[in-house]
Amino acid sequence: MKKGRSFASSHACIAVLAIAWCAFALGLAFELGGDYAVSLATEIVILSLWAVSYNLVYGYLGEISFGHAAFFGVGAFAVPLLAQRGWPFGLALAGGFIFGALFAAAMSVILRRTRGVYYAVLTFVLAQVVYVVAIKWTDFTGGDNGLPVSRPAFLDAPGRYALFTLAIVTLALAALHRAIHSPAGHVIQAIRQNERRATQIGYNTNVYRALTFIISGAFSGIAGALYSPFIRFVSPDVLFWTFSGQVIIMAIMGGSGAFYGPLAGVALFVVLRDAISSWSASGTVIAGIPVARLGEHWPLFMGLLFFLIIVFEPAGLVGIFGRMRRGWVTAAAHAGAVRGRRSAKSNPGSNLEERR
Amino acid sequence: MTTRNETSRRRALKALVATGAASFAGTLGVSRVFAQGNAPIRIGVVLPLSGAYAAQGTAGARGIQLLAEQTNAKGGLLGRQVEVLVEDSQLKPQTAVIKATKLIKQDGCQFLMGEISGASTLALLEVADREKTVMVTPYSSPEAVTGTRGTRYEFRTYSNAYIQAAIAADYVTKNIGKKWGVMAADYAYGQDYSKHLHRFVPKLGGEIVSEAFPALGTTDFVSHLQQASSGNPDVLWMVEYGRDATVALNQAASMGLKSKMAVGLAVANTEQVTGMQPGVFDGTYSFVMWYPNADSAASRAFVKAYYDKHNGYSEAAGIHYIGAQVLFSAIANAKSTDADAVIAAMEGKTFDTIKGPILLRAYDHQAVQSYYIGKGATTKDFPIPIYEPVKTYAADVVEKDFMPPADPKENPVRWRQKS
Repeated sequence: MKKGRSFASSHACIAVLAIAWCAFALGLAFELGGDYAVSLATEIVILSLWAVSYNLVYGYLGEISFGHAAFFGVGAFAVPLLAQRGWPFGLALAGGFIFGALFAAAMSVILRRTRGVYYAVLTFVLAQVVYVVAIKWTDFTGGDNGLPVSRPAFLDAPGRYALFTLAIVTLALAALHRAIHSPAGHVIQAIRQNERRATQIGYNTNVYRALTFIISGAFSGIAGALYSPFIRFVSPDVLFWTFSGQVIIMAIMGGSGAFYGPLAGVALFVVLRDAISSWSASGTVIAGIPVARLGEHWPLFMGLLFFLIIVFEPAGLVGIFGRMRRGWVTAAAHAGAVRGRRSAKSNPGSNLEERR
Repeated sequence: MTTRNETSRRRALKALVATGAASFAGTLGVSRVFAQGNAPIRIGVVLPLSGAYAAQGTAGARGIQLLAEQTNAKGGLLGRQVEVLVEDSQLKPQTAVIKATKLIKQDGCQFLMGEISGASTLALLEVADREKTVMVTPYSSPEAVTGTRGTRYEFRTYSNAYIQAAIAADYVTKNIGKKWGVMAADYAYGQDYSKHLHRFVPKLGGEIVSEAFPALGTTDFVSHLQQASSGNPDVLWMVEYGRDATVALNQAASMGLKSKMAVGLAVANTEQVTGMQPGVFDGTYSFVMWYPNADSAASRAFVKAYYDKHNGYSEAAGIHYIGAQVLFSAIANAKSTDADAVIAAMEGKTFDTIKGPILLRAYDHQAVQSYYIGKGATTKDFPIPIYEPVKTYAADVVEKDFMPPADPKENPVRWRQKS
């Protein structure tokens, strides 16, 4: 990131890689698993956007938010609620963005002076308020019974919706990537490293903190707005704090130190959840064999994995990739040294290394 | 050197994109067709196997499995074996939708059964409607399931909040007393139920003197029970289910409310009263659709078969068994697994089950059947505490007086309005 040129090319490289990866994953999903795999891939794509926007606050600003389900949920509810009032689908999606931003703005006013643990607790409490309002206000949100969500006819096929989602999420990720690598993005990282110093240099850190939170909330809102037409149903479940917990786990498992880390975390989380919980689906659970019954306890396995990652590789999957890549690069450099190739040092390192 | 490196990277990326695009394009428009012939008939079951209703969900899945095994032992359905695939909804509507989609799209299930949680059932309706898959709901109460959110593909063999409240209001007000204390779980089901009580109880000359709305998953009901039992009601009616019902009933008993007033639960369920002391359970009232002590040969045969296999007694298993009986008979009558044929074989038809006949009303696909108000008792005749019938409401009476009428003005059904 030190030289302008490598900065730009790393940008393009990551963007192209991400798109290629997604296209490849979707293609593979169609090839191997049919519609169901496509729906898993869609879920991964949508949750990826959520996890990356969450990571703006967690990884870049360095604050733990336990309330991001609120923005996701508000976005998810925005679509059916706006559609009921005659808004076209595209505008309803934009409504997810707007309402996510508005809720985040309102919260950031309250969060202005809080840091650390208090930040975590306050985000948790505020998000739970949104949940409680949603579950009690049955006339508006359907309460626990939720609301059905329809898609426009041209997006009805799972493959079409997957592509649509992929397009929107790619654009959103590109925007987020641009934002976080802008000068303002660097201020945010400076705040994480040393807020007092950032203040001394002359930045109004409160403004930057609020801005991060609002952008994060807005993009979480889009993710939510894509999610409810995907499931075709929304209930206050998506506002509950355990849902916020999921995004934290996904971001940390993937690696909060890198922009694309949460993507890996989401993919691992969704695929693993599906794989383990389908152990019980083969019918063996009925026979009462304890091994098959373990499928119901997929959170146990997820928790164990989460624990192992935190203990052995806090940088998450990205950290593991980084290790593998370092090993590979060193080996290559070793071999290349004879032929005079460039050394591992000049190879652009992973984001994680840059940020350390 | 750098240039070469760049090009090769770019080339690799291009190749990657191309592979993705090619594999994607190659399969676009290819729909998966599952072989008919002698392939098994697959029933996809989505139930909560983890979370607060795990006991009921697991028992329910076992009930459906048991009928499938019995059917297969007799040669199957339409000469084909029946396969039951169970997926865990984790008590989350989103997960229920994803699992149901998997069951239909990946595993090739032609039919769907579930859910227990109202939210999950309503979410599954969207799947059934979209995939044009017949779905039977054996055990879920929101009226919207066969009303404002109903689909042509959905049939419910259970009661709903309206029926439960109407019958409870009738029995209690006429036989126990006119002053009601109501404690209802504060979510859609509890709110609906209490709304109906507010409508029916005054019509019968009764009065709701106190009310409390504890949150779902409350562990300490004491203050809510105090509130709901204030004003000396004749009956304390608790609209709670599962673990909440267990906790609420235990706490009501330990507060000594049972000696001051009659106590009842909105719906009967073995799982929620398992391990309860006779002093807590005995004498409490409940609304019952079927209970393991049901007095018929078919019912006794089911209870015995279930006991032999799982060494227990379960109301949830029986209710799901009944739902599966209806679905299996309909498939047999339709002589086809085609959704439209099966719907035609279900609409307005009567099915013989272990609890007796069940009619699926053509108007909204809601079951018409008999129910009873039971009183908890520990007897020598049956190994677990049971609900002894104190008043039975026959199917024709229920249809006439205790069900939402088949009238688009009072009881709108979504799919009827569409067409």
